[in-house]
Amino acid sequence: MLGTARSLTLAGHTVPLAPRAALAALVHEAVRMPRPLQIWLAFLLGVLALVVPAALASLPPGWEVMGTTPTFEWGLLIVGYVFFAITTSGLCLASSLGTVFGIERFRPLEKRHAILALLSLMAAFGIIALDLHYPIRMVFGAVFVPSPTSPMWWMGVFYGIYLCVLLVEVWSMFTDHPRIHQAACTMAACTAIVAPATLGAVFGVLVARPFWNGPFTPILMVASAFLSGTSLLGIVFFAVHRLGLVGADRAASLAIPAIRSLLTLGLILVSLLVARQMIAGLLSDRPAFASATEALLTGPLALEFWGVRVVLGLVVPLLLVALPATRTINGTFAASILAMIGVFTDRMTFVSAGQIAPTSASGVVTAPWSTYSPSLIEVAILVGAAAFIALGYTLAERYLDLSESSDVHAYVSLSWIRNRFRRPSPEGDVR
Amino acid sequence: MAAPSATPPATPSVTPPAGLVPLTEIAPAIAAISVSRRRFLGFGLAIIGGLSGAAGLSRLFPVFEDTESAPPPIIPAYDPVGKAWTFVVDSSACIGCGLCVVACKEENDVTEDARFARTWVERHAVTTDGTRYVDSPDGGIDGFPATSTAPGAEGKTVAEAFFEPRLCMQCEDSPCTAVCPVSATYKTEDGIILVDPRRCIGCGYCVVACPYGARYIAPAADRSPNDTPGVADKCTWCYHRISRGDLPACVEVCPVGARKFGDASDPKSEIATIVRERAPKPLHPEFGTRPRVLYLGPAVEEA
Amino acid sequence: MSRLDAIRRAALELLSSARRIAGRLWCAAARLWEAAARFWDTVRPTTRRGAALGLATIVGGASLLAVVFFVGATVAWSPYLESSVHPDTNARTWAALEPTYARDGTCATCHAIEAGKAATASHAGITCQSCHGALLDHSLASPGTAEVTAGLAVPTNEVCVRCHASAAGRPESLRQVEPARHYISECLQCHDPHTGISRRPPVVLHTLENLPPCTTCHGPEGFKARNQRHPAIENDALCLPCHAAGRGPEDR
Repeated sequence: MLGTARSLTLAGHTVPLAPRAALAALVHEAVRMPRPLQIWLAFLLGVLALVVPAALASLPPGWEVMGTTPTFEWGLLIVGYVFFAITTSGLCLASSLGTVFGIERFRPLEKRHAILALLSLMAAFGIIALDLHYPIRMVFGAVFVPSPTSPMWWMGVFYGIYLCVLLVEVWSMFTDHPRIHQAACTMAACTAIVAPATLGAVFGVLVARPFWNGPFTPILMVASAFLSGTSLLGIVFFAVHRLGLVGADRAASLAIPAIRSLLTLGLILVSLLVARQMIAGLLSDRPAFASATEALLTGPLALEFWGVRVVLGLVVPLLLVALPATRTINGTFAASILAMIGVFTDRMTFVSAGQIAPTSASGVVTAPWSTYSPSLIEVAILVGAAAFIALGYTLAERYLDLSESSDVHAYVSLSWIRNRFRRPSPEGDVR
Repeated sequence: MAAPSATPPATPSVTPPAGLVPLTEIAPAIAAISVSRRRFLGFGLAIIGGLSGAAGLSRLFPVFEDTESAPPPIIPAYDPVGKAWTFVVDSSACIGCGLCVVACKEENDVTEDARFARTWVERHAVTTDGTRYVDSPDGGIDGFPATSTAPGAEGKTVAEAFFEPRLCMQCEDSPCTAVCPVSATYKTEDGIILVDPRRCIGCGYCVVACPYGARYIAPAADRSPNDTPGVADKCTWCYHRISRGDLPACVEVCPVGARKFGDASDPKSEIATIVRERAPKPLHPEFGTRPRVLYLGPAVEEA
Repeated sequence: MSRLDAIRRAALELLSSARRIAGRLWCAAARLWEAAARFWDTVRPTTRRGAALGLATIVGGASLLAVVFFVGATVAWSPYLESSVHPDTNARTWAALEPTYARDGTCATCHAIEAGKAATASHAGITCQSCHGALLDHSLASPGTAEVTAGLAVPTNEVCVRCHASAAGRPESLRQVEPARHYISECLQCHDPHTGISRRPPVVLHTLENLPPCTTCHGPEGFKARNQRHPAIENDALCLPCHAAGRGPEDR
């Protein structure tokens, strides 16, 4: 990227900075781009135009537009934040096989995952800024006053580190700094394990919510992250293949099968963890845990849980990636979309189940269940976050070079480790 | 300076003083680095060095550790050290009149919205078929109607019922103070847990962390703590009254003496006698938070 | 190959690998050092004046920043200042709130008669503020001024009904009524909460619908109706055949 006083050049596209010239260039570009792209961008911008007033309406003193109550304080915005935060970590986790370990099948994921991860993290931070009543205080309060007993504080620390590392990764990716990029990818992969685990710990340390309480919640979050990141990559690479974007050939031959194997792993992992949680809940003698599980299996959350989360989100994708007839590019795409919907629904049922058990708080007794219905503003904010990511990624796909580069050195490649301790053979070291 | 001309003036050539060698002769690689990047790096190093030095220097001086003169007391003539404030609630004596709820809202300027109460009364009713129903109409602020308003309890005959006043337990091992990400909620020296409305960000973590449902996020209504809506709020055991030697407002107005409050560190006080002789117990000890509100009567067996 | 030889060979391989790695690390360290030296050459001052200026800037800047941080931390954390983030400051703010309810026993200093009456009555043990609301401002107001009665009102039925409405969960020892069927809507017409004495109710012409049992009021210990011609009877069932047929108070 090269900037002068008059213009900005990014990956071969030059944008003049004088207002009138910039506007003319923008209009020219908009007219010139292919019709489907125009429609898609117009649709996204339209969605954002509807969402922005909704988001502004939720700023102080508009908090009453949220549907949360003292018995159900964490609602759809927290669900959205958790979903986008684990997606961003999952993206780095899924692609770390290519970036950190240098496995060839996963190399095509290199650049695209970083852009998606950055956009997803920005969306997550945006959602949480709208949910908090005094977000500016968090900057001063959490940064200058450490609260090490609070898992939420640690989550902020780790996601902050993750943001910095991601920025370095994206910057070094486009400015030809391969060794810095390698180090940043390794650091991002490490943080991508710790950060969602800490996010799980935010829920897991609460004795007041037995459904969330326990050591399996961090593990479930990391597994969900992996699944969610992989699904998003699957969706994006299907688009790459179908639209013939940069790197489409390698996408079809390498990336999509690789994503399919990652999806299989993620789906099996998450299925085992969800099954464990349901079994533990059915046999538990803690009343809140038992009633939360009952709500999920046979109660108000049953349709979401069985219909969307289990069947649509786990069983059907597993069938799609396992059966030979559907082990195709289209099958992987369908599995990715369904798995992603499943993960979002899982977050929603997870956050709801933790608070749904009948309780009494600040003078309100809830029976038989605590109720919560998301307000339109909360739904709008979530839709806006998704539209933001789609818009950002579309622009990145169009104006940046997202093909793999062959410059990224594998820092710790398996073959390097293998060759250190090999007996010398007559042909010499083979890499 | 040079006379105005179309071309910029040439840089004057200066012979360096003796003993100093030009940069480019020492390390030819330096010429390869562009001037702007060099300047940026140099500037950055200076800033980092300055900041680290400053941070290190400021850490050398402890800000407020063991100064000879203690800061002024919270309230004149109130020594929080050594106080063992204890609250005992007798659920067999409570008649569900709701005067405590009224007094609390009046005393502490709590919002009039019925969904938010610092203290409230619940009625636990067991019907003839053995089902347990809990209801708390508007927190009990207008008393209780004749029969249980809990969903599913209509038309059923109540076999036995009792009232359970609830408030913040000021737990010894409180989960709310542990999970606050900005340390806005804290415990005072006399064991009362308070929320600093200037620092709270309204994330609601303490609200979901409280096993007893004592906290809420103050709504954007007329009355809010320190005129700051959107922050966490909860019962403070009327800190402004107990530090003056008065009783909390709910204890003051209870007509049947179902709420008792005092300093248990004095063994001859009424509260210490009650604790010793009647052995009140906390609710839900399985949460492990060690609440400091102790209950007598049917509330304890049911929990 | 014998096992000992195999072990020796493996050890030698490990050693050579270790030496190679150590050599690489040493080279990397040397390269880092060279890079640092090159970097230093780009920023090092070339003139004596430049060196003096650079040193002065760094030392001066560092001291200035140290002072700023120190002062800032002192101000932000000082428990003496109202705007600080020290928890004691906030505890003092909470403790400095003004109470609204007076202390029990304050009322007796002026209202000794009522307090004395109440102390022996059925409402003994109930503080004045339970029914009369917050009275601190009243107790602090100067006698004879308008502030004394500001905000005061005679408690309404709502206060009595709070405790005395019959509700599940209240003990039998508490005298309870169903307010809708207690037919005089104004509690104070008959009941004096301070002394616990109940007067005879005023004469009320009433129909026979929606009433508690006749013996509640007209029983042997109850009130005689105006112009009551026969002594009170204890069995409700005997009242209704005559009075429901139209022979009742409205007859006269």
